[in-house]
Amino acid sequence: MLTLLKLLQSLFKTLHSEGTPAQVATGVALGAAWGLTPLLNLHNLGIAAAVMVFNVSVGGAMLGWLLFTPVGFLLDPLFDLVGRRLLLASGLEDLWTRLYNVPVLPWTNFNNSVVLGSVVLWVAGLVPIWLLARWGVRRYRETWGARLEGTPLMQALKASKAYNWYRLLRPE
Amino acid sequence: MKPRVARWRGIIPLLLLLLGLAVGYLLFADRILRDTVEETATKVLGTQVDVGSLRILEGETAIELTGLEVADPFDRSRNALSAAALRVVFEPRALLEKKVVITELLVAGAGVGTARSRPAQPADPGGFAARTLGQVRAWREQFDIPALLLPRVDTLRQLALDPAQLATVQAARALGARADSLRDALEAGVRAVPVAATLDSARVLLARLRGQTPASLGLAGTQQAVADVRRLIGRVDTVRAHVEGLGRAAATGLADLEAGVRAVDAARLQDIEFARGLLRLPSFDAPDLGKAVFGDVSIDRFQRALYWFALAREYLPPGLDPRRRPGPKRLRLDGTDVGFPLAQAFPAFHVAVGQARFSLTGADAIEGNYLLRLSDLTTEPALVGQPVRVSAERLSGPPGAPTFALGAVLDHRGPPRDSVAVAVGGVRLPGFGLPQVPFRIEPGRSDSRLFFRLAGNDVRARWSLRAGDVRTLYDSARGGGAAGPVEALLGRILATLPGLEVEASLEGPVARPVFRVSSNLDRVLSDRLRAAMGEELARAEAFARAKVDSVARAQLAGLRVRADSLRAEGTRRYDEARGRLEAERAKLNEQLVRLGAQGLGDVFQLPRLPGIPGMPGQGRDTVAPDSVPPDSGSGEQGAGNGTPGE
Repeated sequence: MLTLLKLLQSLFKTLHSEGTPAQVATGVALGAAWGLTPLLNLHNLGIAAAVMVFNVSVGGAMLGWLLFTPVGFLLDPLFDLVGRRLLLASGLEDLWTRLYNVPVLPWTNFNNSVVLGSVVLWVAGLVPIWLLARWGVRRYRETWGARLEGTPLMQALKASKAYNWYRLLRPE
Repeated sequence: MKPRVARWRGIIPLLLLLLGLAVGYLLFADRILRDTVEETATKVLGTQVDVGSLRILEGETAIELTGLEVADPFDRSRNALSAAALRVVFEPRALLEKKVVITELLVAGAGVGTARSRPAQPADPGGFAARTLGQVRAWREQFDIPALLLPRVDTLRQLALDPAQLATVQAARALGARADSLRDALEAGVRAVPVAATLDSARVLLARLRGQTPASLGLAGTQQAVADVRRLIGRVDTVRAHVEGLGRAAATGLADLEAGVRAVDAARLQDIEFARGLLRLPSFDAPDLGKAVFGDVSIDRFQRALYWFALAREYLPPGLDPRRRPGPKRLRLDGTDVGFPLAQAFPAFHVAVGQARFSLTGADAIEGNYLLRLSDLTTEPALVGQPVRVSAERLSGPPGAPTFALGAVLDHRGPPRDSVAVAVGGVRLPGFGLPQVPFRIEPGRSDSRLFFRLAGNDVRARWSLRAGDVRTLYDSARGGGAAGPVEALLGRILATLPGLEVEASLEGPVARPVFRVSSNLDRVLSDRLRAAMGEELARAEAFARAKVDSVARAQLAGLRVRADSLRAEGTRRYDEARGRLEAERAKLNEQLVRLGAQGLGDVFQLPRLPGIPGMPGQGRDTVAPDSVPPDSGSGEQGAGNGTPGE
């Protein structure tokens, strides 16, 4: 319950005032990887590190994760198809063979069709997701955000102690 | 102000996350890996694999397992293999590449065929192993293991034959249709030949010239008359040629019909076999009895070997092409894992050397201490460059204890060649029930050998059993009370059997090999059963024959009548038409002579027509003379005035 509350806090804060729209959009684009690609993979740990260390919106990343998780499940057959095409493409066999025999890299599961397909499509969609998210945050702040700012719900969320933990990760 | 790129405070939660992962690893890694090992091994082997506990020894890049149980895919209440403890040491550099190279495998407290506390779950029906198991079971179905039971006398009265099932009836119906077609074709042919019109023209011409002489006709009249006669003789010759052609066609058709009648008679024998099959009459031939008694138990050995070899071929493929495997189970789609083996690199899975020392005890076991050696078991034989070798031998045991040796080579460096040989001497083998009869054979101390070789798709296998002190037990639960006459006889033979020698072989293409079984029991059984049950069998066979004959003979008789009728009718018409044409031609010839035309030739050599009786100078190649019945004379077109075509 606490986790959910924290998540809600971060989302509202993110959308209202924490960080620029570009920072939030970057967070959304990075968080989309957690939703689109199978979560328990090494590359997602790298993305988590990037979200925390780089000055992007963690709330935005959470939002991206939340939004793109159902999309990931829906697009799994497409990821599988793309991944299989790439893995079995005769022109790429040398590349995959080299990567497959490099230490650590096979632990990323790149040789799984769904993992490869989803990562490739996520990378391909990074810029469109970023642009769309930046436009969406701007529009939200100009319209709904201003109206919700003074509501009791927002005040209560801001006053919560859990919010203090989130401050560690808010964009500077 | 432009925001900074990095947020160094974020390192704190990142470290906390890594710490959380480390704690999670310490708490759950053993359990997760145990579950993964169970899941993967179950999927690969197609049978339930349980691991009691698993401990990761990070410092030694090794794991220790306890309570390993691999269920027997053919008997889920037993374990094909079990081990109290295993120690597996991995090559660390290979682990970095997510490859499993086992440098040391030690097994302690291993067991074979031990009972499970709970029956294993059936394998995932969609998995490769489960499909292979299904295919191997289907493969077994091709071997027709005959029954051993003789039906009781009252069963004979219950034989009900559906005429539609009989080949005789089906062949007779088809032949009847062919006879009808032949009759129609001949009728049409006869109608197409203008015999009557030609004869009429001849009669009219002869009537016109009757009493005429060259003097009375004058020169021009005589020339005209000669020309008319010659033209008519030409027409008669043409029509006669057509009639003879029809005769030949009829002869061919009738010969086919007669052959068909003989084929229907042959089908009757087939029906007798079919009826005999419905009675489930046993064969008393020794090879059949050998299969009936020991077919199941022999095939069982071959079937198991084939299953494990089929799995080996799937998981140990030759070559270095990318390998596709189903991805790991997860909430998301599993996808496909593709492996990319590379020469001079670690194979994805390799047990360089494995060794298991274990003791076997218990009633079903071969007591003693054993050593099993395994080398170069790998998923990429082309990388390792050595065949998989497995050997096992008994190191020690009580005095007079049995001997045991096993050797297997799986060579998948090129086209797969797999072989296994197992020899067990002086061991008290588990008993087995005889199929379809309520007897159980306890071979006692026996020598057993199995050799199974699968080279490409060619199988060559042999299983033999030699037992000196056989005991036979009557299983009243399976027999349902008192033994029948055959069971009683079988029991007496088994009781006096001095020993048991069974030899089974399997040879040929693996899809359809030839399976043979022979034993001293089936030879004795064959002689004794033939002597004791011969009369019963003969009676049953006569019963089956009579049943079929009651249906088939009527069909055959009807067909013969139709064929004979066709032959008689055809012969009569042919003879009649040909005779009339001959007579009219002779008269025309005479008329020509009278008119003074010479050299026309009045001798006509008649062509030889095969198969038509009654023709001068002809042989009868298909039908005996006595087969021609009296002329039925019914329903034949043109038969009213006896002239074909009229």
